[in-house]
Amino acid sequence: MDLSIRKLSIIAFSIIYALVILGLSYLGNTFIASGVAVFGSLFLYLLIAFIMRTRDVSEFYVAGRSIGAIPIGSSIASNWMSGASFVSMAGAIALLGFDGLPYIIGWTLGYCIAAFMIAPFIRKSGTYTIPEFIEVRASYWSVARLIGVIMLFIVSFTYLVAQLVATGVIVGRFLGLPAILGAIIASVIVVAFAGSGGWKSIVWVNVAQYWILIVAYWCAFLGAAYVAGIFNPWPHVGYGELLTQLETRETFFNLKAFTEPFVRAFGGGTGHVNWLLSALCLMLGTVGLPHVLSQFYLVKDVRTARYGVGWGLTFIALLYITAPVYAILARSAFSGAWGMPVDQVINLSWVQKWLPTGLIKVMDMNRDGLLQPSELSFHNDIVVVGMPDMFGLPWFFTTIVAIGGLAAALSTANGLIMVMAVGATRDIYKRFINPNASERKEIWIGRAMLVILSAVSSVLGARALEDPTFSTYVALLVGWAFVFAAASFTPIVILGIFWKDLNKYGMIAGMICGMITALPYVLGVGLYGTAPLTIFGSKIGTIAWGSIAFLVNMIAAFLASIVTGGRRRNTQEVINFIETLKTPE
Amino acid sequence: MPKIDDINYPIENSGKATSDENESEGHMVKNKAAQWYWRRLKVITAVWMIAWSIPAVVLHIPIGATSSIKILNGIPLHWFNAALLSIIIGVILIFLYAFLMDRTDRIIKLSAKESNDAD
Repeated sequence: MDLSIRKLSIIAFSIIYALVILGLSYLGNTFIASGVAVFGSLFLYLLIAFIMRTRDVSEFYVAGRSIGAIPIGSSIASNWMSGASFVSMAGAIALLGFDGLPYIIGWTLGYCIAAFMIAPFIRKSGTYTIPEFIEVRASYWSVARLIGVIMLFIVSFTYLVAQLVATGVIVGRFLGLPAILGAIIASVIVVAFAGSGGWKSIVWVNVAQYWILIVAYWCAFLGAAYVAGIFNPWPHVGYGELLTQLETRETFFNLKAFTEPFVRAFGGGTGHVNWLLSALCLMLGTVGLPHVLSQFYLVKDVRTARYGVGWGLTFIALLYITAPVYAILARSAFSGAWGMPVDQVINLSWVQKWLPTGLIKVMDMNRDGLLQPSELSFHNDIVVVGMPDMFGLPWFFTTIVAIGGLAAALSTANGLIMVMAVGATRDIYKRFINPNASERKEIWIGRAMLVILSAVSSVLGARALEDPTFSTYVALLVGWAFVFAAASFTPIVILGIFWKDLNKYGMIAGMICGMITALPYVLGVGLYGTAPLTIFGSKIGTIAWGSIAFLVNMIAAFLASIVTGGRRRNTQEVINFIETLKTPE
Repeated sequence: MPKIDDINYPIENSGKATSDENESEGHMVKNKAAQWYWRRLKVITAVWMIAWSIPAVVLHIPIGATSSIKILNGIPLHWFNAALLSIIIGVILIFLYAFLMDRTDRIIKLSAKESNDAD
């Protein structure tokens, strides 16, 4: 069938999908309408993946290097914004106030580094994967590639398990299905997306998922903002009065003001230096994550890589600049209950709805019959998933948020599983086991890898859902992934592009020293309760420490390269490779 | 913004040269162009990284001063800087960088084309 006809089928399905939901809603069957809306969105993604299916190796591995700037921007954004970004980040800011804002600048401004120092050169390199890039730059030293693949698997696998957990929780919360079933369904669906056409399918599924998730995020936000009266003239700059009211109430109840800096811990550290270094580590870590870097291979040329990152950050920003306002809206709704009789609070419709889920807890601890701020506790996730109810929005807003959350979790899982499948196929099978594998065989091996990875990750996801301790370790590892990426990949990739004296000894020394600096500190402070170091009066937390490890990596790579002869140790092939990166396309 | 001439393409000399000389001269021209491109790219990257440090770090250093300034009916400036302004600056920086590098690429392509035409 012609591709344009197949594309038309997506539009036809979307229209039928919308009509069925509208019809069910009109008939008043809101539960079935919600179910159809959520599962219908999954079918839409499957349809897109199927239509974009391919048997071509280049399309499977790098989408034929054919993606334009705006589609890749959407794909970068949805690949980046996980279920946690969608559901939990606004809640984290609602809890941490100003001290949670390193998440906002840290998880966005890293893309500037990507645009200026990495993306165009990765595209220009002609390689297919980051481990391959590292191997070529390390004078075709296969050990470097192997280390790269191992790092890729550690980071991506942990991240994938966290996404499956998030999907399970979302499905469980909104549809009342067991969370484990949700995680298994998610892993099967992701394999179907990736197996049909590799990156070619994934990119276009990601594009659809981005627009669905951002519309969902904004729908509930704009509805709540309208009810809260912060359209003066626009919510992102119009919440001044609401914030003042909130902070007045906080002062009345002897709480620290929401925007007061450096009163809450971030990553186990406190203070100004910790805040700055944490933000910096998240930026440096972002650009070292394999599933982020892999997107730069998919674009049609260097120019598209530059603009694509620009669009990517624009689309990410649409969510990230909204999360702090979400946090203020939610905190304002919570603060409205402070001082009210506890019986009255329990009868608020949104409290009634979410109390059984455990996402909010009301407890009259001092038995005075009135609700004190400490007697209303909340989970991060309630800020986004409960927002429609807090502001009395119609039922379908909650469904829209569920569809958005699901899209966010799946879109990140798509990219992660694909990065690992390509890593297993190209960096291990094709490189070390069967270099003469045919294209057809490579794709089938890739598909088999997808199934294996999906099965293992869904087992671990189910374990995380059942065992809170295991789940805590997964969450910690996701946070530390940024530290490890900043300590290992990021400095080497940047130096590898911009400094021709970097040789394989420098690369290995840098990665080893970076990890030796990062790992004991992260484990000690984050897991075993060791007291954090104090720098300029700030306690340095685990995430902030990643910036120090980045610096150590840079210095070690520099010294080791110089001591071992610098560029003279690079082969002619490496010199040619560096020249390719330096010359215009 | 440098003009094509600034790249120092010795196009006008190529007409009287032998084929070997032409080849070696062409190679030199290519090298010079590549060097010019890389130098310019490094300068732009350095300038943009310094500019990036403003929303990423510098803007958040004087918190003592910015936290006491309220804008837009009560938003503290230090909050506004981290929650909105920094990200907007980041987006603008990337697009400006892409635009400038795009122009640089066009200059180098145009001069390469002129060089080929002259050959």
